[in-house]
Amino acid sequence: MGEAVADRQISSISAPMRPQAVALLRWLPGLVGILGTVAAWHLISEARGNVPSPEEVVTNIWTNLFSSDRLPGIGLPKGGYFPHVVSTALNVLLGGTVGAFVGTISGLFSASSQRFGDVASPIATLIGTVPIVIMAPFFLLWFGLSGLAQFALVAMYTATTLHLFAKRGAENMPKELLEYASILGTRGWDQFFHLRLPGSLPEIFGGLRIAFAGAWGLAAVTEMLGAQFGSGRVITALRAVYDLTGIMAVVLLLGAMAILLDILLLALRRYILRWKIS
Amino acid sequence: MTLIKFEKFAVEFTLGNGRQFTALKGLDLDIPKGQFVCIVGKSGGGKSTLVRSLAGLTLPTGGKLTVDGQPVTGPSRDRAMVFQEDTVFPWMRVDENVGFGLQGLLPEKKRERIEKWLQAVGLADFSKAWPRELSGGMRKRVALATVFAMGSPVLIMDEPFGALDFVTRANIHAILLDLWRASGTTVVFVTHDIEEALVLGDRILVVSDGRILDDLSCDLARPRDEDVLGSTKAVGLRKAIIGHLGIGRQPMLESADQ
Repeated sequence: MGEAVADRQISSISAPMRPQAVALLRWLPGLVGILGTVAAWHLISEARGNVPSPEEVVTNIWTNLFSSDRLPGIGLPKGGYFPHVVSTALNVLLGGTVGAFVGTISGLFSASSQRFGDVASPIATLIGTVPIVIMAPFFLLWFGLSGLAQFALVAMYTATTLHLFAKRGAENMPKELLEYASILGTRGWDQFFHLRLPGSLPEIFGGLRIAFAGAWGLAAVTEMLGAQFGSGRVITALRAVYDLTGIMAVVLLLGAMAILLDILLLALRRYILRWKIS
Repeated sequence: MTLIKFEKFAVEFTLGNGRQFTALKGLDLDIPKGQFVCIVGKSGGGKSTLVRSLAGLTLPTGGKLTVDGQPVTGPSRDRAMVFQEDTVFPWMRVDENVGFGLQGLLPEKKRERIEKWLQAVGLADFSKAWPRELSGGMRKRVALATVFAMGSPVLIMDEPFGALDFVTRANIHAILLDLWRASGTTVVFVTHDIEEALVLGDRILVVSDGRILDDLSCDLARPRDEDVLGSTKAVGLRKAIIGHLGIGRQPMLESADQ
């Protein structure tokens, strides 16, 4: 009897799970979270009349995504939400990429050269603490309404975040690895490319995800403060006519883009850090 | 022929509280070419400082250190080192790790040498593996292949196998001795394990309090199996080392009792 129970336990432990089941289990918590949020949103909209329901928002997106009769009526160019969201996405991607590059390089240099670090790190910390609503007007004055201000702001904040993460990654590298590399004859750029950069990549990817998650908000807020195009501009125009459904539709689209970018970043991280992630 | 020469070699450190700490006190030591020297001693006695100085990672505050007549002024490919910690680069595959010390070689020559040394340490089938896929013992073998592939005349090892289990350590000892005999490298090996020193060394230095307390010749027959390690000579060496290290005396407990 006891052996039979033990056998049953062993067979239940060792039975391999199907890959589809494993994939489902991995996605299940996220799915439950999204469905829970939608259900809560639905209940809130039922309880309060001034919150549009998920169905209304999805219908709004469907109706206005590529072409909209409504947007030209409130002072926006022809077309739907899509070109505006793409414009914001481009600011995030281009600004984020340039900022990530500059921040990573300066962070790694700061870890290698104390003198450079003494100069660069306080600047990065200072910039990181200035709120976007204070910084944005200056950028709009300097760069105008052409979209360059959004790009520059996203680049600057991404650079700040990446500087701190890359520096921490390089500083946390085991001292023995650097000593070992110097014994193997590695110096200067060789050490930078073969040691400091790859060794800091786990931290850099952590910084990238945080910076890009914040970049959507930065770009949209800057567009709200002054831009002729972009998701923030659409939100401002819709706010002026109290179109809550439209605002939530744009916010939802931005959120979807942010999640998509994060999934891409995770996939890239999984590939680049395959030496670390099993 | 003397390859490594320490003359009145001293290293002092300034501690966090501003006080001076002398790690090595005017040390004199000659190590001939091809010898396998083991350094044993208590923690904080100066063993690691001695080998780090030889590697060029710690600079002296007094005296002189030369290798093949040349003063040691910093790290060099002529003095390879295996550390106590894992020093295999986790972002490089096994063959890339071994090849990392072979910069400047033509690709075919490099490939040949990587294959040769991976074969020598029994990891030929793991050349494309990531270090995280290997056991601790296998990663140490990658480190051995890397330093032997470099062909450095001096190999420094600072308690490299301290974290390995008994069987893995015995296996890796055999590999190390094979590579040492085949290459003629001079090995300076730090350990806190007296048995490990008896298994490996031609010579055992007992270091404590920044000084060499004893310089013992360990001319036991090789391979050093249980019979050899149980011989009168081995027992005598073990006793001498234990005597120097003061095992059994517990001054702190004694003073507490008083």
